[in-house]
This record gives sequence, C-alpha cells and structure tokens, in this order.
Amino acid sequence: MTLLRIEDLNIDYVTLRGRLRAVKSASLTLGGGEWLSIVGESGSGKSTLAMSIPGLLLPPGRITSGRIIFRGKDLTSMSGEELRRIRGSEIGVVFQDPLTSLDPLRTIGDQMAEAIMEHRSASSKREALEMASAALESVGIPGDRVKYYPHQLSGGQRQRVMIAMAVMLKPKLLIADEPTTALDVIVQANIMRLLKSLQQRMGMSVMLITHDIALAAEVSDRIAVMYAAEIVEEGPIDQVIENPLHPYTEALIKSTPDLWREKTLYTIPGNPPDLRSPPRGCRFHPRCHKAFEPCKAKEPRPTRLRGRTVACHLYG
Amino acid sequence: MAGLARYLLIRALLIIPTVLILYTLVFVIMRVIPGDPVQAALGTRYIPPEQLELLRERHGLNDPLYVQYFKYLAGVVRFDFGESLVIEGRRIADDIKERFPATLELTIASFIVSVGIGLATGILAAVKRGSKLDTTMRVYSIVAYTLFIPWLGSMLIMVFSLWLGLLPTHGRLDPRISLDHKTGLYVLDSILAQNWVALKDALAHLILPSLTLGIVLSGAYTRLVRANLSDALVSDFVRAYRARGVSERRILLHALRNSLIPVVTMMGLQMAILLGGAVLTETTFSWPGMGSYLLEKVEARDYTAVQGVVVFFSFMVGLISLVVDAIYALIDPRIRY
Repeated sequence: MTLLRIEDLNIDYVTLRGRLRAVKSASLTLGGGEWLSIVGESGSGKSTLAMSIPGLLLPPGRITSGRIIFRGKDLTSMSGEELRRIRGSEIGVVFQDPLTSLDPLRTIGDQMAEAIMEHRSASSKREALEMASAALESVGIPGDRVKYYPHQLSGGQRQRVMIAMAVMLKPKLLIADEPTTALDVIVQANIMRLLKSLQQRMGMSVMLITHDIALAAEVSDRIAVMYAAEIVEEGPIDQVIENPLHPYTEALIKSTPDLWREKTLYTIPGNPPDLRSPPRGCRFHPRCHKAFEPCKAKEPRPTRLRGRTVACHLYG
Repeated sequence: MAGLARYLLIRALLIIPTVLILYTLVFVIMRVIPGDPVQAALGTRYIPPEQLELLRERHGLNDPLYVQYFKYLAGVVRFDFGESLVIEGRRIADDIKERFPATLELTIASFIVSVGIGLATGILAAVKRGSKLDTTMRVYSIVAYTLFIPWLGSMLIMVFSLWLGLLPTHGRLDPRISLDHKTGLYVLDSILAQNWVALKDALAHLILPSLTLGIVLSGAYTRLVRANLSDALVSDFVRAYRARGVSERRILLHALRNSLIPVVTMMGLQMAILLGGAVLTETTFSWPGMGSYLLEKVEARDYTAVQGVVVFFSFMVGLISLVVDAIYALIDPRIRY
C-alpha cells in the first residue's frame, strides 16, 4: 500500500542573485511500513526534498510544481492550518542537530506536552505529561526526565528525546534528516538501532536522509540516490548496493571507507556543479568516467529497469 | 529552587564590593581635584580666613584622609551623606529623599512607554521581516534614537500644551492641588489618598515628559528586539516546534522568550541610567528630579552634594543589577546554577 507518492516535484530557491532549482522533477513512492533512504552529497537537494513534504521548507524555498500525495491527499494544495495538524501527528520529523533543536528555556516535558495538547490528543496537561513520559520510556529514557531541561541531557539523550517527540503521536511517516551526523559513532549506532526497532514496532514508514550510503545499506528497504537536485537512481537496497546502475551510485559506493580493503580512499574527480548554472545534458557527465556523446547534449530521462529507476543514457 | 536562592544571595552580596569600590573611587577623585572645596563653594566672595577655617573644621575637611574616608563611610551606611557646603545645615540625604521620588516616577513611566513601543515595533518588524512594515519600523527606530530630547519635548509642549491646551507644560502637580506626599510618587500618593483630582493632574503632568523620554529610548529596543527575535524565529528549535505542529502564535511566544535576555540587559542599563536622573528631560519640563538636582549642585560646586548623589547612584546601580540577575534566572534555567 502506498503511503506517500511524490510526483514530478520541483523546488526553487528564489534569491536576489537568481533562481536556483534545488529539487528537479523528483518522483518517488514510499509504501506503508517501508524504509527509504535518500542518499547524496551536501547540496544535492535531499534535505530540501524531505522538508518539503511536511511543509517545512525555509524561505525563500518554494514548491513550484508537482504533487505530494500523502494518504491520498495532496499536501502541496493544503492550507497552513491543515498542514500544521498533520505535522507531529501523522508525519514526525527528527532533525540533524539535537543540541539546537530543543528550546533551551523549557523542560522537555513542557515541550512534549504542548505538542500533544495542540493536537488535542490529551484532555489535560497532566495526561499529556504522562503520555510524554511514556514516549520517553519507549526510546530508553527514564520517564521522570520530563522535568529536565535540555542542557541537563547529553547529545545522544537529546536525540532520543527528539525521536520520542517525533513518534509520540504514532505518525505514519517519520522523516529523519541526518539524525546521527552530529553524534559520535557509538551513539550513532544506538540511535539507528532505536529508529529501526521503533519502525518495526509501530509499523511506520521511515524516510532517512543521509550522506552515508553504508549506514543506509544497513537499515533501508529501498534507496534513492540524489545528485545535483535530481534523483539519479532508485531501487531496492540490496540490488542497488550490489549492482549499482548509475555511474554516480557506483562511485559513491566505491568512495565509502572500508577498514579491511584499500589503503587510499577513492574520490570522485571534480566537484558537484553550481545549481545556478548546471551543466548541459546529464549533470554528472563532467565527472563520469563512462560519459559518451549523448551525455553532453541530452538530459537522461528516468527509465524503469527490473523494478528500479535510473536516469542515465547507458540504459536509455 | 535552592539553586535559585543561592544564586540570588551571591548576587546580592556582590553589591557590597561594587558600591565600596565606587565609593572609594568617588572619594579619591573628589580629593585629588585641585582647589579648596570650601573656597570653591563660596565663589569669589571675600570670606575672612578664620571663617573658612571654621567651615573646613565643621565639614571635617581638616581630618586626615583616612579619618574622612571612614567617617563618611559610616554615614553612608546610615543613609547619611553629610551636609551641604553651600546651604548651611541642609542634609544631602533630605535633598535626595525629596528629589528621588520625582525621578523614580518619571523613570517608571518612561520605562513603560519605551519598552511598550520598543517591544511592539520590534516584534512587528521581526515577524514581517523584509516587508514595508519592517522598513517603517527600522526607520522609526533610527529616527527615535537620533531625536534630541529638548527639541522633541518642546515640540510636544507646543502641540499638546500651547496649541491644543490639553496638557500642562511643566512641573509635577498643579500648585493649587494639595496632596499629602507620603511616598513622593504623586500618582501613588493620590491613589492612596483617593484624591482623583490630584491623580488626574499628576498623570497629565507625567504624560509629556515620559512620552518624550520613552520615545527616544524606544528606538534602541526596536532594533534589539527585531534583531534577536528574527534570529530566534529561524532557529532550529523553532523549526522543531513547527515540525511538531505547534501553532505559529505559540511559537512566536517561545521565540520571544528566547530573544529576551539581551533585551533585559538593556532594560537594566537604561533603568540604571534613568534613575541617575534624565537631565535633559528634567530641565525641559522643569521636573524636579535627581538630574536637575545634580546639575544645580555641580553649578554651585556643592562638593558634598555631588559626592552624595554619586554614592547613592552606585547603590541604585547595584540594586538594578540584582533585579536584572533575578530576571535572567527566571527566564533561563541554565543560569540557575
């Protein structure tokens, strides 16, 4: 059953220096209970794409065309108030930096109870606080920590609190935007394990935004790879990792550090393009070792191939 | 809350060295200024040397410096700032008791005006950042900030007193109204005495001076609130609030509270400066407060009076900073160590 379907989505940042397309013709589907990871470098548009779903784009970012169908309704045509009611209750979000994502002046219990009350999921503050404390327990934090202020918790604990806040109203979709980037490696692993177990326990879908393809490989059902504002490849995680179709995906996998293999790390030559003036044809062709004539002239169209989608002239 | 009590106690105790240092500084400066204070106070009039000597003796100026230092300090502890050099027998503490309530009343009123206008304009500008309204508020803040108090005061007097005849031009109360000055705050006194005629008159006298001072001071708040609130409104925790479906109205409140610390700092500084007397406003409206008092006494070279006012002022600064520290602790839990 499809929970989320993104159709031909375009997102622009309109600045004084001109228009920048941060997400170009993105299409994706996410099934119920499925884990999709979106992988790409900084500036590839993966966070922008994810934040546009619950209507959390920061100005001057704007959806210019396309549809986001969530549980049969188009989120792009909803009013601010309708979207607000979906945020936190049906779609939960976990952000990158747990140190700055909590209000430093209020106890975590107050912050959680407020959101519960705003969604009318509790009839009294006391009941809301009880729900908050139960949510904390579910992420492995003692329930009495509702009385704590953010500065009294460690970075890992704060990220657990953020996760508890995101899932406390049992959302259908959890968007996790680089949830472990700001944490050290051991804590990272614990947080990912927690997210995985919550997903399985609650049967929710997860959209994980990460630059770490190895991390995505461990937890995802499917993966989408973004490069320069476009989704270049999408498919089941095992197939994509074992047999990447797009040269960029292949290069991304090769440039993952591996303790047991090579001494020097593979790097992709060149830099990602400036999105204000992307290269003609395929956006990856100047850095691609398999590039041939059509790549310079024509934009590749997404092609369906054995249950996967790839945008590359090698398969067109 | 034990942490909070301890924090406030430490802050309160810290006032003592602050005042002591200021007192010592004032004492030393007054002694190293060249010239004889008694001679200076009396001006060019011829006074027989014996009589000058008598005056010096009377004010203890012939004692060794350390004796003078501790004698005066002993007086300060009992709220005694010595005797005027110019007006014989006049206690400086009595002068302060008479003048300070006027300053306090003006301070409170103009503080309300400046914070009220500053918060309102700053919040509007931050919420509508980049709009025409924002630009208007920013222009207002610069214009208000650069206005010259005597000019603005005179303009307001001209319009509201002379042309429209709505408000009095100067002073604190119509001399025909009798009022028991229990606290010296006329608004409070008239409420205590349930004298509504006096209340109306006292308020009418307060409007123009507090408006003048309040408008000029509000510009800085506009800028400060706008800058801090617009930063808070794009911060990560605001986005996280939004992601949980919290309404924009509540988010604004939380962001505002987070942007308040620097605003409270400025409130404290302004309050402290205002309590020292708003010289320009007081002279424009013939307001009999500490500012005009200090001006008179400096002109008269009344050495003990100036010294007394400065020491009294240092007390006020200490007190205000204690209040500011308490407010910090109430706003921000991280401060209650």
